[in-house]
Amino acid sequence: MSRAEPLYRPPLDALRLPIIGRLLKARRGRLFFQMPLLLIALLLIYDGFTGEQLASRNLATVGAWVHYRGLVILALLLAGNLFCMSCPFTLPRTLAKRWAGKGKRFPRLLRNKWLAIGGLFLIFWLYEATDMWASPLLTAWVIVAYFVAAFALELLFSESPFCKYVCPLGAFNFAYSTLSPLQIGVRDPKTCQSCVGKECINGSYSAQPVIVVEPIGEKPPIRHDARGVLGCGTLLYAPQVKSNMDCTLCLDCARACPHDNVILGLRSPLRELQRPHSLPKRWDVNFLLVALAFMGVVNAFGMVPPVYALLREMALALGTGAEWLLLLIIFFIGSLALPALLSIGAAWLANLLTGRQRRPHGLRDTFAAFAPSFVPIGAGIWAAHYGFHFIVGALTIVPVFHNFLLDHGVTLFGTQVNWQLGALAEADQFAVVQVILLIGGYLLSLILARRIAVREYGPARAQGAFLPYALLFLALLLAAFFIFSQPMEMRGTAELDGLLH
Amino acid sequence: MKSLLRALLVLCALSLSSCRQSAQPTPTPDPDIQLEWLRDDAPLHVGMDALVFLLKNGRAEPIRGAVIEVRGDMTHAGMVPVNSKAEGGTEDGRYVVPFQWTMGGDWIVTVRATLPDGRIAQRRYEVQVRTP
Repeated sequence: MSRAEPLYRPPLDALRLPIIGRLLKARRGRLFFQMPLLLIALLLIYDGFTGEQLASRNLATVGAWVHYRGLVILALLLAGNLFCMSCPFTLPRTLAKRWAGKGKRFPRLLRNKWLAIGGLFLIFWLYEATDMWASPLLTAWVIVAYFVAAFALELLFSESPFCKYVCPLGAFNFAYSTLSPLQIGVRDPKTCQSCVGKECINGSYSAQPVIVVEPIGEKPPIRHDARGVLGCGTLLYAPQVKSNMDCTLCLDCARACPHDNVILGLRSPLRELQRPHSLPKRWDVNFLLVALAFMGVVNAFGMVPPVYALLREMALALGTGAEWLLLLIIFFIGSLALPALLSIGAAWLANLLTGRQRRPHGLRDTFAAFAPSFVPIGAGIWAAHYGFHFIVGALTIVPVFHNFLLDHGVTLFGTQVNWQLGALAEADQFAVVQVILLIGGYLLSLILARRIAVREYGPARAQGAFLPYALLFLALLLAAFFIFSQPMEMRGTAELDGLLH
Repeated sequence: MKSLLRALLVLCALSLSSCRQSAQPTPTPDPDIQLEWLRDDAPLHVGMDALVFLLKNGRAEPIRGAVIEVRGDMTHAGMVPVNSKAEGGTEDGRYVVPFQWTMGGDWIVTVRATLPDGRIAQRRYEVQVRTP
């Protein structure tokens, strides 16, 4: 591929769509999407702190644990990283940026995904250990903590370390946006080659009243005014973007490009996952993709009766009724140790079966090559879980909000709250969708792994490399089927209390 | 001017929280009303159930003619609450409320008794319901 050849030629550029395109690229375009979410976040915090401490009747818990989780996975699969695009936590971050000026870079040691993986582990474990789902107050504190963390890190460091290295929600969104149908790219790479300012990544702050950019081509360049524009906060260079990983879809690059050369193109959802070198061969980035698939299973496991049996057995075996400790062990094994062991084991076995154990088929090379194939099955598991909560509880926001209004003396919608509003569909009906999501994710993972095996080892040896991953995906599918076939319970850990007393 | 507006917004938000009041406030406990859920140690199971409540006054005399309303909320958000009620009661102050446990897990049961003279008593129980 010549350097001037575009990385991909999308059939559609969302930034060229009649109304939405102009809105997305408008100077305040992102703010337009962020403001509603900021208001919602403030409302959730307010109700979490002041409202009835009953999860099913509080906006904080209903909004965060039913609607946010359901909608975020839907948006990732149907469009892209829309939540990061509209993220309200980055609004105070912008303020911090202005106050802080040019700070230091984030410590080199932490410029990876290990913090985010740790954050994901911590939040999933805390969610269970503190019964966060049942506490509007705790939920409100978590939202506040996000605002504070985003603000503080932006105040201290020059890039956007919160989004790129710390935020667990962002890490989840980055991982599954690799399956999204939209991606940033450029229309003509030659324009980028001769671009001097590289405003898409550098931004264009200047004391000059007008930033003068060099003219390229026939079109006059877009001129930035004295306010300048932001460049990419996560330091992605538009013509080199091969993956949605680390892209918050903020579109600062599109606004900054003086040549109007940045696109938001439609692509095949499997495009970046099956292409080599879309993601760096780093343990952290690739382990994030693997671990999230396992975290999906463990997170769902916390909601079915067998988890109580396991907790009881562990409590008796270890002689402790400390639920937080037992959950910590389950989560550590299921979310970190098991994915590390099994995925590295699969890579080792793949190399062994193909007789290729040296570079370019070292352990890390094989691990990194196959890690993207964990994305579809992981997405299927998360969508089946979060989709369930959304489908059975989507309409509960109506009575909860109505009740909130009545609490504040607003009787615009009457004084009788219809608490019977709840499900968009029956749980039994959604079970069919769950099966489709699980099997669909599994089959896509198989297809990806097979293509990667052929790409990396050639058709003759591909079967040997494919086999360990096929078995691993089958194990994940069976585990997910086992969990989703159990009667879903909305917790029930009371039994553990006093088990040993 | 902008700072002043922002400060005003913050003050408005804070003042909202102070004037908030529940549409259905929790009644002050009345020592003259004893409301009790009579249940044995047997675990609760998903399905139809009959919850028995005992309503007495401070002198342990049964109260008849009251309305007992029961609301069951799951501890997880997004679940439709279950409502049921019983009126009248038996001579010994018992009220049997038909109640459908719709899902296994942790439930918060709020029981509200409205006496014939308009006084209200309320109690809240946390229970676990098992899936058979």
